[in-house]
Amino acid sequence: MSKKYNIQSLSSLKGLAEKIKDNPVRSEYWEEEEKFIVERIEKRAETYKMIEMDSEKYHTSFSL
Amino acid sequence: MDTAYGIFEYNINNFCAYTSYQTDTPLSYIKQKTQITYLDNYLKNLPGDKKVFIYENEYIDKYYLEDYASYYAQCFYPYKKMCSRVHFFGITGENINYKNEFENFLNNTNSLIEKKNYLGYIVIRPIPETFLAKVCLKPYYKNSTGDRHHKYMLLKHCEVSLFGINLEIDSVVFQEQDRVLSACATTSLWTFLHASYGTCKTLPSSSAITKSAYPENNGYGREFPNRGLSTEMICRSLRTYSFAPEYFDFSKDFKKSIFLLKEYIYAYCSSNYPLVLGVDVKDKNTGESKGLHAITIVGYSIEKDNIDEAMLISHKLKSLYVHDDRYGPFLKISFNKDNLLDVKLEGNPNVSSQYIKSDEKYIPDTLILGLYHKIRVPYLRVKETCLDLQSLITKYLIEIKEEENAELIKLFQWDIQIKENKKIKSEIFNSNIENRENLLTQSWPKYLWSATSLFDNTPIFEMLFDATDIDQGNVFIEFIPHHTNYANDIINIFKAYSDDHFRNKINSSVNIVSQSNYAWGIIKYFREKESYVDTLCNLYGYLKIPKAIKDEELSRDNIINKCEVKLNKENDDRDFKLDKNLQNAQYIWVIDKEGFLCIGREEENSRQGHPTLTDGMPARIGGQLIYNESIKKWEVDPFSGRYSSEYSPIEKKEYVKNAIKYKFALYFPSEQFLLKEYQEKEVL
Repeated sequence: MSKKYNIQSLSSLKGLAEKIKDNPVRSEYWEEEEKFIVERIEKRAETYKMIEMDSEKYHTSFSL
Repeated sequence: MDTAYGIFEYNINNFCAYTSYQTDTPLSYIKQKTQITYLDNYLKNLPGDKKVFIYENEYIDKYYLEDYASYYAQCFYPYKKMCSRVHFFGITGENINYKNEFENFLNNTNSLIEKKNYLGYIVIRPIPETFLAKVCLKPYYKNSTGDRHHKYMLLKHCEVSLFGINLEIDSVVFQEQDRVLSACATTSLWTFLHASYGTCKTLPSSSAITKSAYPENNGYGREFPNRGLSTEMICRSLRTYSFAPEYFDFSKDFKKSIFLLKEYIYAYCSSNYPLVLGVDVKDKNTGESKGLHAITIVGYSIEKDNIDEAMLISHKLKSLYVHDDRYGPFLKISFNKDNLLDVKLEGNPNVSSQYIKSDEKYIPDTLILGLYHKIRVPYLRVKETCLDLQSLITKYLIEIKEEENAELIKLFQWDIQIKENKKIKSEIFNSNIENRENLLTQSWPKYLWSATSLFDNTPIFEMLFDATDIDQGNVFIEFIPHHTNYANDIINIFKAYSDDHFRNKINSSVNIVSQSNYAWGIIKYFREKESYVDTLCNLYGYLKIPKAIKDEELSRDNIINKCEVKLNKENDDRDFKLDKNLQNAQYIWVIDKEGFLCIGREEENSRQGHPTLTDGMPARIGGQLIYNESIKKWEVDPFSGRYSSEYSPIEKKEYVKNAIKYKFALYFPSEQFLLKEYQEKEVL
C-alpha cells in the first residue's frame, strides 16, 4: 500500500453516503457503467476459456 | 529379527541398514534414493539435538495388507505380509542409555523419551526399493492464529499407539509410489484423501484408489502394474470417494493464467481443502521434460513484503508445501521470477557419497479440486463479484468527483475462502462485532464463501455468500462489519449507491445484461433491507415471541382473541373510535410482525393481556393506552411485560415515540397522544 494511506485514511469515507444522496450521477452514467461491466465480463470469459481442459489433455496420464 | 523392537540413536546409516535388512534392498540403493536424502535433511530440522529411533519389527499396516491381498500375495516370490514401523523422538542430553530411557517410558516413569518429544513414524513395506509405505512426521512449521496471511499448512490429527502408549501428532501422511499398485497420481490421491478426511481410519489403500480410477469393463490397459492416472481417472476416483471434482488446464498459456492458479490454491488450501497439482517436470539445466507428475498441495506461504499491494492476498503466494512422492512430505517449492516452481534438494554427504541433489523446475500443468458435493458455487463467481463491486463503487465515486475516496476504495484487498457455518458463528461469538446477536441467530447454510475486505492489513468487513446455492440464486447472504466505524461508512456508501442504482439504472432505458453477476444480489440486499424488515425493526423493535402466555389467556386450547382493531392504512376501520370513558378496563396495544397497530381492552383483574391481541404470535413492542382527562391527551406507555421487557429504557421510549408518530397520530388524527412519563421499574 502506498505510504500515503493507512487505516486512518478511511475516516474520509465518513459522510460520503450523504454526499452521494445529495449528488446523484447524470443519467448517461448508468449506460456507461453497464458497458464497463459487460466489457469486464467479456474479458474475463477469455481468460477462463484458457484454463478449460480439452479432451486430449483430459486423458493424458501423470505417470512420473 | 527375533526381537519385537529395538532402539538406537538415529543416524542415517543405521536407519538405512535397518531398512535394507527389512526390504531386501541393497544399502547403496537406499542411500542413493532422493527420498532418503530428503528425509534425513527433514529430520535434522525437527526439534531435539538427537533423534531416537525405535523400530517395531512386525507391524500390520492395513493399507499394505489390502495391497498385499490384491497383488503381492499372488506373486510367486513369497513377499512378507507384515511391515515394520520406525518411530522418532527428539531428545536433548549427553551419554544417554536409550534402552533404559525407553524402559522408563514404557513403565510410565521419568524418561527423556516423552510423548511431547514424539516426531512421528515411518511404515516400511517389506518390498524392495519402493518401501516408504506411510510417512507421518511432524511438520517443521506449526500454524498459529492469523497465519493464513503468512504461512499455512493443512494438518490432521493422527493418533498412534506404540506398545500401549498413546501418541499424537498433527500431520498429513505421505507415501512413496510402489510402482506396482500406485504411480504418482495414486499416492497423490492417497495424501489428498487423508488431508480431506478427519482421520486416517477411513483412508483407502493404494490398490483401492487405483482400481476406483478405472471404469468397470473398461477398455483401458491393465491396472497393475500401474503406469499412472489421467485427469479423467483421478476425477472418477474422487467421485468414488464422494468428492465433486473440478479441473483446470494451465498448460495453454501458463504465464497469463498463473494468477488464477494462485487464487485457486489460496482460496481452497486456506479453507483446508488439499489440491492435486499436475506438473511438467523439467531439468533445470537442460530444460528437458522428464514427464507429467502429480503432487498434493497441503500448504502455502505468502510473500511478506508489500503484501498490501495486491488486490487479492492470493496474488502474493510465494511457495507451496507439497507431498511429492519423488521427494517427501511438506516439500517446499517456490515460484521463481518466471512463476515456475523451483524444486531443490540440498545434497547431504552424510547420506551418500554420490552427493544426491536435485535441481528441477515444475511447470504447473493441471489443477484438480475435490470438493464436498454441496459446495456448488465456484470460486471465480465470488471473486468476480467482489472485484466488480469494488470497481463499480470506484467508478461511481470518480463520477461524482470523489477521486481521493475512489483511490481508497481501490486499495481494499480481498481474502476469499470457504468457511463452515459453525466456524463463522464461532468467530462472531468470540468477537466484538456490532449486532452479534442478530448475526449469531440467523439461519445460514453449512458452507459459505467468505470474502474479507482488508485495508492496511486490517479486516474492515466480510461478505458471506451461500456456497451451496444454485448459480442463478441470490447467493449473497450477509455483511459482517469487523471494524465497526469504517464498516458502517462502507455500508452507508453501498446503500447510497444501491439506492441510486435502483432508482436510476433499473428504471431507465439501459439494457441491463450484467445481472448474472452476484454484485446485483448485493445491491438488491442493501435496498431490500433498507425498505423492508429493517425499517420495522428500526422503528418498533425486533420480533419476539411473548415472554409468557397465561392460562387465563387460553380457552379450549386456543388463545382468546381480544383484538378490537388492527390498523395499517389510514382508512382502516375508520369507524373505530377510542372510548375515553372506559369503565373497569383499559386499552392495550401492540405493534405486530407486519407493523400493524393492534388495540384491545384489558378488563380490570382479568389477567388477559397483550398476547390476546396477537393470537400469541411474535410482535415488536406493546403497552397501555390511557386517557388522561386532566391534560385531555392519551398517554401511551411500553408496559407490556411480554413484548417490551427485553429493550433498554432508551429503546422503549424511542419505539413508543415512533408508534405515536407513525401509528396512533395517523389513525386517530382527532386525538392527541404523548409518551407517558414513568420510572423504569413500572414496566411489568
